[in-house]
Amino acid sequence: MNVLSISTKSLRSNPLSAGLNILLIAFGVGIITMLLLASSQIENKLDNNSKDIDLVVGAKGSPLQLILSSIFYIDFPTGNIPLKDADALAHNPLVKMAVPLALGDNYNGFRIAGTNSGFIKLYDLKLAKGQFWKNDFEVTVGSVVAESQHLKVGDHFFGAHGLTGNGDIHKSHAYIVTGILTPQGNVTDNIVLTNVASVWKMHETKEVHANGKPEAYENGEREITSLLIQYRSPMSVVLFPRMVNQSTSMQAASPALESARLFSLIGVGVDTLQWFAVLIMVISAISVFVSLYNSLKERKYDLAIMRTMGASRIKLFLIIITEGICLTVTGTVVGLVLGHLALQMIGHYQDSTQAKLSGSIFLVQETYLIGVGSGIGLIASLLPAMQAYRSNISRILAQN
Amino acid sequence: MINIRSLQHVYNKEQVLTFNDWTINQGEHWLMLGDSGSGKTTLLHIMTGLLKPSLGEVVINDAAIYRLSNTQLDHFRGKHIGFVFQRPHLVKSLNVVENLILAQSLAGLKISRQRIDEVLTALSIDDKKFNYPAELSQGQLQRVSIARAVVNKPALIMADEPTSSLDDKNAAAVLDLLVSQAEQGGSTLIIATHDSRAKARIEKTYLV
Repeated sequence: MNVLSISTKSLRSNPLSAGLNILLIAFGVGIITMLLLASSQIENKLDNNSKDIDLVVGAKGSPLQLILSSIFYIDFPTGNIPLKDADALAHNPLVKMAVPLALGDNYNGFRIAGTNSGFIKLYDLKLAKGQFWKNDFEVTVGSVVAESQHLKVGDHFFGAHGLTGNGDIHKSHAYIVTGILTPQGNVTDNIVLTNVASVWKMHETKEVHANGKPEAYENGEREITSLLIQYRSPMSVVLFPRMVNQSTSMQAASPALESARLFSLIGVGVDTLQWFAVLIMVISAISVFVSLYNSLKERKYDLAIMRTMGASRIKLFLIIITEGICLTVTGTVVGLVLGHLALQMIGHYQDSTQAKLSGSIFLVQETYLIGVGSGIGLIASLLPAMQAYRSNISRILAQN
Repeated sequence: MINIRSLQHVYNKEQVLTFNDWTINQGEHWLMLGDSGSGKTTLLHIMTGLLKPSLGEVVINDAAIYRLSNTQLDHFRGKHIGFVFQRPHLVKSLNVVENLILAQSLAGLKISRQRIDEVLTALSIDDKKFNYPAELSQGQLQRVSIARAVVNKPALIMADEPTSSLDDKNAAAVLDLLVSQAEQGGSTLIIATHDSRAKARIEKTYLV
């Protein structure tokens, strides 16, 4: 019978106290796991979605809003920019590639983006089926769109005006699906791609909108929502945004900068939760310490008897340490599982398809948590173990 | 086999206990008599390496036990001495069989289920094999603690007031078992007691 089995049997003989300790550790570790997974996934998504886009040019307004709408397809666009101004920028020598984006419609909550073949290159898109859009009203849909809406190549559907909801359906033209993308792991999984002209034509027939105001492009002037820009050289980083912001009526926003700003906003909440989790871990360490210390009072005879049967001081020390580590490591493993399950559940009930969180992604940092868990067990059981090591067995046995 | 020479123990800094020299041969059965508080338990602990005396020497099988290192002494005790206490302290988280397995493995001996079954049957508690200590009566517990003391066939069985918390019937049974198990294993038996019921069974006495 080795140290481990003596320790686990002793823990099992007091399941309530062991359970409470495991639960406390699991709770703390669970929160940390969730934070770790969620923040790494969000960071990843931020990076993935804007990886090759150096700058977004759109109508004046909040730069964060411009990035959210044109990179992450979450917020409303800041407005429209005239096509001829956008074209002028696109031909600037500092610009390597400029891809137009015309937003405004959705299909069951998935945004329809009018763009050109530059978008394919920018996001390195691959087809799972069919081909890319070519003519007006042809669309290529992201993998998630195809799956959730049961779209196949050749299917027809109507777009609705606005970015969400389908109250105001454009019945005059139907889109036809010509291709479906392979899963890209970024925002393109959740959008419907077509050419800019389709978006314009969809709105040419003067419809009366809910707010009664005709859209700008309905007045004949060609406009787009924004321009996604890739620089020719790093030099442009300094010159180009300033040029746009100062000499045109448009604004330039950097996805990297705005993502970092966004992440630092989320970061405050993450920090708070992290400290909360650390607090729970400290409390659980104290709880492990107290229950080992208390159980020692009850078990001092057991331990003294083990000494009479030939167990050395070191063995008793190890038995107590093992009990502490067993508790915290079990708690840590349970916590890891809980964290993943909780995040999977959050992802399941999440409305936003763009920023869905998943519990099935594992990180290297999680293995460090197991190390931290055993460390907590070691520290919490050190004092009780020292006491078991130093106990005067003759005195304990004489106290019959 | 066991020799104690000019043993003295000082406790609470001023109270001094002096013990007469004592020689015990292999296989002998002895009673260690004395009133409560006379120092029986102290002497028993000194003789088994649990309590280092202030003066004097304990020699078991030619080994002066207090010259061994702590770990060696623990090992020696586990292998050669079986204990029976007034209260049968079994490890609460282990069942009867596991308590005996623990005795074998802590002594560094091979686990033998056959030997365990043999001992439990001899003490007629084999039907309680898989019960936990909390489920047994005092008499049954004391029998298990005897089983634990003899399972490794120790050279020396030390019993400290093994009968004082038992009724006449159980006390007689426990004494019978101790004597018969000691005889079977050829072990030396020392019973420290102030219980007059024991005097009828064992002749050799040492007065503390």
